[in-house]
Amino acid sequence: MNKGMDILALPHVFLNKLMRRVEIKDRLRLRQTCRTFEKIVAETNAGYFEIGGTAQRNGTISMSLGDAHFASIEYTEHGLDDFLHLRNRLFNGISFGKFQFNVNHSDLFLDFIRTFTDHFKFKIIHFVVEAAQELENALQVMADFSSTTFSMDLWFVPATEKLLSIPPLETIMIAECQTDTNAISTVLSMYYHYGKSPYGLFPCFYSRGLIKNTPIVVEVFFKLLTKHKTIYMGGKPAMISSSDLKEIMQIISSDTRERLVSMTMKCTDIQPDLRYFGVTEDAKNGDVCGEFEVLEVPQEPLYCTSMLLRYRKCWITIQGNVWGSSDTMVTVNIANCERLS
Amino acid sequence: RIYPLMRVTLTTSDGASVTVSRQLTKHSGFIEKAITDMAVDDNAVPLSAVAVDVDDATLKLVIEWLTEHRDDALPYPEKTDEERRADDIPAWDQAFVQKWDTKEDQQQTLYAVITAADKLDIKGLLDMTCKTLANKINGKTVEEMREILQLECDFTEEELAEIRKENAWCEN
Repeated sequence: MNKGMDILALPHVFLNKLMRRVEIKDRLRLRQTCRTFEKIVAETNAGYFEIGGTAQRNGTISMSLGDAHFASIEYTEHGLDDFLHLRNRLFNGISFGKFQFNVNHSDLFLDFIRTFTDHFKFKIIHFVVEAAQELENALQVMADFSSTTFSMDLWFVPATEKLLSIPPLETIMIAECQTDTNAISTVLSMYYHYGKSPYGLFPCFYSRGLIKNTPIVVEVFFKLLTKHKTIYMGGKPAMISSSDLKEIMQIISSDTRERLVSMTMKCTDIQPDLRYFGVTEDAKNGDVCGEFEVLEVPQEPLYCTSMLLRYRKCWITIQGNVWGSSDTMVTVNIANCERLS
Repeated sequence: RIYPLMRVTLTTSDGASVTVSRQLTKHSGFIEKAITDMAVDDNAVPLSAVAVDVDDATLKLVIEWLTEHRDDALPYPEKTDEERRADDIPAWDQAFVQKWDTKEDQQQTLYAVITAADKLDIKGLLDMTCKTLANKINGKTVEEMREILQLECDFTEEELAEIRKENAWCEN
């Protein structure tokens, strides 16, 4: 056996594999060990990470790549150049399951994203968009990565024409906040750092009056439904009737793909629909009410309960106290697979 | 089609000969290609010897690993998206690596097996040794990494200070 071997003499194919397995923080330390390893770190792919993203606040941008968080820098050409310099010293490529861009409205954002993401691979790019110009920038980034899957949180309601021009998304969330962006930052911070979906936080934000009903009319909603696989709505579409709601269920039920529509609303907005379907406060587990089967009725304590209904191939889950008073918020999930409901 | 009873003689870089079953060598892309290149009838027994650029001691370890993994599925599954995971080394493999004598020898033996796995194109063994080394350095300090990988620091103080300054942006 050769007793004089050192790691730097190992085959390149092995070193490349090894460097795909070490974390970003280990890469930072490895580049301090010796000149050769500093070069290996810079010239190898960092591998795959489940999640990454950029966040912007008060003129600064910060970034998370796998296990490493890069502190905020000023959103200037000089600051971004520094960012790119360190990226170039840390890896020559990287892949993400999901990468979140909090989209900025400036032209610098587009230039930066195009440069920064050179040699990046994404399964899903998730955009967080708060204004019309940011949506324009997001659409341009989508055009750059045409073969990637996209999802988007829209924290405002764009003009109808613009809303309908958004290409098909894996998931679209549409909600409006009544207050400034601090509320949004809070939601996003929880979303990003704790990996929690903001959608589950809607009832809490509603109760604080932070999220308004989304003024999307039912005709527009049906067009969105034909395009996007999963839709989260901060409210019920305007002018939607009980038969419209049933039509949504029929569309989702007949789709072979996994589909979900989730709407957060006041419980008093869904109660008339349930009664129209034949489901009342007296319903019990196993009851058949018209075309609906009651799989689960609310249990005590009512604030953390849920109702589960079945309509054709649809599961309808109503999270929250569905038979509560007017200020009680519920989330209605309509899905064609049990996992999503 | 592989004939489990068919045997292949391997000649090592230090002149030894080892005869093994095709059931083991089917996991080595290099040996399989060598046999294919001989253009002999698969039923021909014995085959001509295949020369491998691996020493006898290392080849014995490789054969020990191949024997344990003789029933592993082929082709070896490419797991590009899951490559980061390094905590799924089978218990037998962990014990296999751990039994290699003293600390220094263990590292040298590991490097020799890695090189052999690469030369013989045994993807499963290369993967396992890669995970083993990644686990050794993950979460370690710079000094510990130098010690584990037996590296000499060849930076000047100024260069090291510059790298630390760049890293501080991320490490805080």
